[in-house]
Amino acid sequence: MVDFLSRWSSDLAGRSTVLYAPNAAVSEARVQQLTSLGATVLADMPSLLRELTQWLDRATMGTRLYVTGNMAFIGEVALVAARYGVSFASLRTEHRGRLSKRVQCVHCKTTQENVVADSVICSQCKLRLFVRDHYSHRLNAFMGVAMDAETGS
Amino acid sequence: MSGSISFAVEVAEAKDVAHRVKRFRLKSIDSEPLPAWAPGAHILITLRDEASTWRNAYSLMGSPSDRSSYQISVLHTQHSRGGSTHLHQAIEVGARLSISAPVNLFPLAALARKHVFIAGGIGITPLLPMMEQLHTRSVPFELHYTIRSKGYGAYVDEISQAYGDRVHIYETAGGSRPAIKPILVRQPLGTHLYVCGPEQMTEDVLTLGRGSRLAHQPPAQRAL
Repeated sequence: MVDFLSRWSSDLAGRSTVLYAPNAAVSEARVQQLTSLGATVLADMPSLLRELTQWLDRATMGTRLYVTGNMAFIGEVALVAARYGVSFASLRTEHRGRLSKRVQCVHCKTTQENVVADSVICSQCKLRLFVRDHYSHRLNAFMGVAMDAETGS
Repeated sequence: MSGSISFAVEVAEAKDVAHRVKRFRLKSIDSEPLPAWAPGAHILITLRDEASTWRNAYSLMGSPSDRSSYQISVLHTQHSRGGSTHLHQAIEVGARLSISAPVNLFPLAALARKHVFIAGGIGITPLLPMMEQLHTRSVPFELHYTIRSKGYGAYVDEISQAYGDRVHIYETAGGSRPAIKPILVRQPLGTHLYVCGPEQMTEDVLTLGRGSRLAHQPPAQRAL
């Protein structure tokens, strides 16, 4: 993003808005650098999504949305965008960070973050879940289904 | 192009609605409901006289919930290949016509937050049931409708009355034309654009839409 911001033309910069929520791993210097290049830095994801919502309220036809971050973040932005008539297909996305999934247990509906394996114990109902490839845009989560359902564990 | 199933209907009503524009109501000849359709759909009518056969496409108007009849508006074109002349001159109430089942190549984008319609002349017809549906569902829309002059524009009074300031009429005879680009740039994100009218107008709107990145590929329909 730093690279992108420092290279683009003043014309493009004038028509662009950058919203950024750093995670704990990002250095203070990097945040400063982004601020000086014109990015709006938000404390966390909820405040970024609030800011984005306000921004989309005023946005007109011809606006393009670009999202970069981990999968759960892209999914959250996509949900906000969908409320403004921007389909997932018209978002430009780039995955950054660890390849991890948000998983919803289909039995107790609890959602777990940062799942990296294809099986996980549900933090709420303690069932061992198999993470299926089925992703729900609406829930922004993969489907976790009890592994030994037939044996009635 | 359109479905191969065809069936007979009877002309129940034929009425002049504007200069060279006639509205036909086509009803089912038995008590069976006609095939369902959605706004934007058209039918093909097969017309015959002793010498020729024509297959012309006409957009359905009226209410999709009325399954007892279809309504179309037919412009008697200046350089008719014969079909519209035949419909205007030879087809009267009681006549039977062979039509195809409805096909929809111009549907509404169901998830749009707002709809902007650009119409020219007889291109208004597929937009009529669209606006009615959006009005019923309280979905925002606006119409920019270009006609030659009052007597030439079909349904101007009806839609102006029904939809008030959402309707903008331009009369080219009076030198009035819509400024498409300013109309497009002020639309909120999530707006969908539809254009239906003469070839040149359709091309112009599409070029503007794409050129200024206002739209990927607006749905368009040529009305000849």
